Amino acid sequence: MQRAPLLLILTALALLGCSSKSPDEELLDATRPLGSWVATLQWTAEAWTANRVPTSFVRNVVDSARDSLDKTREATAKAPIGPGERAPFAVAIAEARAAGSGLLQAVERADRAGAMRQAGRLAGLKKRIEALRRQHGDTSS
Amino acid sequence: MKKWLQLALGILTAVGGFFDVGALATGAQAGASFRFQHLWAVLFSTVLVIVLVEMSGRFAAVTRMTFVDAIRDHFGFTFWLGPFVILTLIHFLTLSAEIGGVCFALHLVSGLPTAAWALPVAIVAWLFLWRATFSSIENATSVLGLITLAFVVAAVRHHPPTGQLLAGLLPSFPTHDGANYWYIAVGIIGAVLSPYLFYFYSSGAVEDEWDASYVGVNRGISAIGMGFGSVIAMAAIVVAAMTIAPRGIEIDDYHQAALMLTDTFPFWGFLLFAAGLGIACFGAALEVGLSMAYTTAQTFGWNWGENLDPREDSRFCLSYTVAILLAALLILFGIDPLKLTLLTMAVNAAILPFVTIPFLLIMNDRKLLRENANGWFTNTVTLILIAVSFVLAVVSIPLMLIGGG
Repeated sequence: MQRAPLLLILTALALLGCSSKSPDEELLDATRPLGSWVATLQWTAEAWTANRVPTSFVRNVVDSARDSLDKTREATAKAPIGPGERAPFAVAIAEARAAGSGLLQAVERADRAGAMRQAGRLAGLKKRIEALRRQHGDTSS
Repeated sequence: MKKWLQLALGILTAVGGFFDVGALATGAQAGASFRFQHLWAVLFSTVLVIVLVEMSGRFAAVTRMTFVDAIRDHFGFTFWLGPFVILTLIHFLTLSAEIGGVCFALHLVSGLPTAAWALPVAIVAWLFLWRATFSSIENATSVLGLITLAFVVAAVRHHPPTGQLLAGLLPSFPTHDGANYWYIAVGIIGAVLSPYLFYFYSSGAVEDEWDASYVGVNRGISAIGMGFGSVIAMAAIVVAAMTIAPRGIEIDDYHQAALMLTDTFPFWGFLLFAAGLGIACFGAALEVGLSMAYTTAQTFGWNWGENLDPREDSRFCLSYTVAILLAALLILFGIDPLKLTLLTMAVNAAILPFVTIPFLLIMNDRKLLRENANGWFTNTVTLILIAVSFVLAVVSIPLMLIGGG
């Protein structure tokens, strides 16, 4: 009876061991935060433009997005895929980072039109990321 | 005070106090990643929490003792020591997660780093516990906690699809990301079933001087209050499913959830989110801090009581003082409040048997409880639900931590 929890944990680990991932799945896992953060930045930009959030919130979201995008870049670099497949994601990560910086600059200048332009840029980037993920077998978007 | 008024107040307290950092974090994650698919987890854990809270109130009302006193008297100090250590650890993690929630809410409105708020929040929480009486803490935080009803209003105004809502109330297997799905389900169960709740409720009933005439009031409070409270937790899932999921956002960070009320309340949504999170977590932090001090004092046979002067129960006061300080230090040192919350909620579900089985044993003592002892039906339902929660937790936590998610 006392061994039951241990048995359950071992079963879980065995199941985990059996489920090895393909390179495409590893790439999809590694790049998952990318689309999510691009969408977060876009939503934040739209909310700030509509006067729904303070400027400090935009700063904090951009900071968090940068941290997460840096981790995503590192994780993508480690994914077992060829450079040709990795490159479009690396470009998308760099563009997301640049859009975040652009948003921050627009917000610091109180430039609502500029923030909206970044929101549009992020919306386009999000679509490209979804298309890229679909090429690697993602069915969720 | 008339019983019906106490019933109404108790229900208000249960509703206002139900929602906390765990419910919000797990609800936002669930709705964002799996839309309505986790509603069953709230329903499942609500049935169990109603049963367990009703038991703890019934016990206190009939015997006018706390669980810890009874367990120690019946089974001895050594028997209780294991559950007490586990309970203390989980109290500590939960307290830290709640303080983290308050700090994050303040970070949202001030822009200052979350960690910068850790010590000020700890000091204010400590001052509340030092100065206030039990009922003032209970009533003030719960009434203010009703601000979280904003999630219910938002959920209704989003007009979620009824068919999908109803389907979500039945357990289902995920189409993607299995480890994450079960980890979130376990987190939801752990958020609703925080073990501190039963010990806090039982000690609170003793503080409020309940007697056997309160058995009916207790039943009403636990069933109606917890039932309505769970509606808020479900509403958080629904709002996340209607606002965050369609945008393709998955919650890795509290910032990603902060806009979830702005579609419904364009101007106030952001502030409502921050205020709801801050108030709910502050109330929960006070309850968890008190609960930790209650169990510690009761375990070692010290004087205890929030209504006593601190000079009369100095070791009780020292317990919550140390607990709040140490819990705040975790946040001060930069632990991610969201990750801490999700892990704590999942661990809550895993330790459930260790802290509730002694509970059940005592509830079957007919010498102590006579006709108010548990019947076979309550015992069976409780044991099955606890076993299911435990199995889910023990399987999903290692899967998630080692790499499933």
